[in-house]
Amino acid sequence: MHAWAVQTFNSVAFAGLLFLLASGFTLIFGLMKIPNMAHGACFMLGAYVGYSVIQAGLPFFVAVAAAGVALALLGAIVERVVLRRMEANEFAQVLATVGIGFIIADASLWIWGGDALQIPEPAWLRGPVRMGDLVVPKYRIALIVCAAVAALALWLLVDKTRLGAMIRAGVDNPNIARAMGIRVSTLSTFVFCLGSALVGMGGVLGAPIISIYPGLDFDMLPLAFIVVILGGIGSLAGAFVGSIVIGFIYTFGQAWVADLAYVILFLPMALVLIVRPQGLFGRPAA
Amino acid sequence: MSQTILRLSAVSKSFGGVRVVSDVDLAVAPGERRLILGPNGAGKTTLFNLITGDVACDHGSISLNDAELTHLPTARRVRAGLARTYQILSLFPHDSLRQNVVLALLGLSRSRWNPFDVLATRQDLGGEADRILATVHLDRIADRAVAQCTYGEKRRLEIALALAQRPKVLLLDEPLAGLSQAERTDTQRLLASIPPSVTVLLIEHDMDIALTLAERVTVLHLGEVIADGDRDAVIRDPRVREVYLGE
Amino acid sequence: MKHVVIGTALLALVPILLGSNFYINLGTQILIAAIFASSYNMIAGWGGLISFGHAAFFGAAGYGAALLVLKGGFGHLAAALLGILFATALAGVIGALALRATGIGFLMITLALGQILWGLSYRWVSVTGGDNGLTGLTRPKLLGLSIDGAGAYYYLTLAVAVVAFLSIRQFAGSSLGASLRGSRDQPRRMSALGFDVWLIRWITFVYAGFWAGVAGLLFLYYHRFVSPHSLSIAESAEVLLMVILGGAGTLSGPIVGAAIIVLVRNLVSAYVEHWPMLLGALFLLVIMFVPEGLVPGLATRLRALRPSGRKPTIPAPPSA
Repeated sequence: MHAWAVQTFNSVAFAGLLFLLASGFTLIFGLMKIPNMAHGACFMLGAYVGYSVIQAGLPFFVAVAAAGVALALLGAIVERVVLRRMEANEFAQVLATVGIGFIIADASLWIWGGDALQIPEPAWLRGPVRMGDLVVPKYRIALIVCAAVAALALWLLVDKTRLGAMIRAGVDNPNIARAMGIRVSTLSTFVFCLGSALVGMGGVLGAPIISIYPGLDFDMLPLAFIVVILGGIGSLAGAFVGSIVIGFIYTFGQAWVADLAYVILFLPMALVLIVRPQGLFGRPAA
Repeated sequence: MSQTILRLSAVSKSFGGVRVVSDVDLAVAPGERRLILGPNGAGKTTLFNLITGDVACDHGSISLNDAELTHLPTARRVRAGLARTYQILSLFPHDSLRQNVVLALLGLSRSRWNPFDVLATRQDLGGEADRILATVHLDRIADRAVAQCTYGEKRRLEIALALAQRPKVLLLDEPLAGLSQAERTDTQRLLASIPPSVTVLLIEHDMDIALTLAERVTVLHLGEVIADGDRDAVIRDPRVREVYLGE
Repeated sequence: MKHVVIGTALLALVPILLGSNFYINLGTQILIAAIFASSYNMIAGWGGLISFGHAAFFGAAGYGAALLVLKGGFGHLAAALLGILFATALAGVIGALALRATGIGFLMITLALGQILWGLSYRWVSVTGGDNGLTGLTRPKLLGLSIDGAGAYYYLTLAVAVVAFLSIRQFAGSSLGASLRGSRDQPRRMSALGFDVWLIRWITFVYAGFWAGVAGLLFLYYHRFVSPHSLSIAESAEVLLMVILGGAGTLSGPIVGAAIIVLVRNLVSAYVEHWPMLLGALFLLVIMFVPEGLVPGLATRLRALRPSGRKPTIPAPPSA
């Protein structure tokens, strides 16, 4: 029973990380209709930025914030300078994000080198905590809390604010949204920045658990895809549920069927795409 | 009693919650010239899309020469003898007029699957394409790229592609749209010269020309057939006049 | 045709002119990449279907052949043919699944299915050797001649590359090739002309998988080794890069793109440590400013007098 409980807890923690990764990805995909192929690289870059900030002696959560700001800035530049230029051509945009991902990955290698780096948890979150019979790392609880806060904040934004309503309109039908006077281009910049900020912060928050290394980008990108396809493109609720499902499959999969870990991860994604292309929560394509 | 070459029975289609085509019956005789009339949004193009299979119907059945088409994909219906032109031009802009027609000819030929031929040297297709272009008076510019042609020439090419398919039933979706007066007269002559063996369904807003071509008229309004019969009878139908005079 | 003959003759002189094994091997690598990129061009360039999993067939042939030789005791020729057959059959299956969608959906399905294969090669350590891959392969004698040497292997690769290029060029100029490009440009119109768009795309996908498998097999025997990297997203992304850079939908574009990337990786890397960034930046600039690719882009700018642009969907038959 104990092993189960530990794995369950780990699954939830990993799910939290996945949500930070996937929520931005799904919003960008939903509004701009493109998978941001540089999203994994942004996660990695955020982690690296956080590492440097901590090396400079600043506290952990300052590092998290710094990564968020840095990635938001990068996102703004990418969206306005590169993606905006090819607004009508989604494929060109996807390819452009591939190129940007390559550049970010190699620049990271240049700046931070090829060795795996560690970010330790902040001192006040170090060590275990006893929850009844269960002994769990304090940090993972913190990660779950952070992800939950992010989920709540995003839900409030998207569901309760005017801005969120505009985003939802843009996701549902950009043409009608434009006809109603919604500036979809400006929204795209905002959403791209928001998504990049989220994933950058996620990179720092995840680093104490998964460390930072070249190749992390290509490890994380497929996970973002899986969660978003499962949950439905453009759906935050879907990203939430998808993160939990994949968090469990990934954690228990690693533990039980290590050989086939990737297969059981990608098989559901492939099946969903083939059978129900709009995902579990998404809308059928017009 | 004439046979029916194209029959629609209780065909319906909804998009979202909106009934775009509602319980439409249509029986077209071989060689007939049938005009489909109706205000914008009446469901005319959707009806064509349902007939060709570009859109699947929710209810009802469609048959050509008593062969059921309802569940067949577009390509199979086309090979059964349908052809159509599109309201919005869908040509191959970077290719010459001849190349466009060659592609149309290839569609119904077995050799479309051939990976071993060299299309550039297929004189049979090239020659046939020129012959078809001649019937629409485009043979002199056969080598010109479509992107460099006038709108009127492109519209005629649309018709040429459909004629290249030697269809049994030809659906023309607003073939006169956007044409100048001179071009309209040319196209009218062209349409009038379509062989009587080909059945023609026509959607058109230009009443003057459309009514000279049509024998029977079907009027759609909000997806429903409100009048169906001989041209003269339909024109005099009070409901039709109401729908049109109200525009 | 005379271009091909001249080109082949020039390429045949490479080992004689350059001498050093390093450069000969570079030539071999470029040729293998050119075959791989040309195969991808069939679906991405002429088919208009951007796949993110083409490396699956490249790596599957390598793993298939390697496993048969190293663990199954098969002879090299049989293993090679079966490896390519495996890649082709895989393309049939993946194609059937992926072609349920187009556009971004197609991209994601190919990515997912490719990742499944990668995951198997990476995790199923007992069979595939995991991250270490499969080693210990030797090059057999071909018709009694040794292909162990750099020069000999180069000529083998060149011969295969010429056959591949001519075959793919033939496909492009055929009726089926024209049908494919028509389906890329106006799929709805093509259906309305009687073409079975899905089947055209699937057949092309399988054929492209075949040539990717051939490239993968040459790659296997070049390195005498296969690893999960051959099946990775990075490898799929790289072949995408080659085709887009050089010019999708052209015959020479993928070859030029392959050459650029292999040369940058092997030569420029000696002077510019961060050549991937260079490649990424080049790719980005091409997408932004020369989206048709370097070969057509340069051709257009050089031949400013003759109106040029996108290649026509089908080659022009002569008027009767």
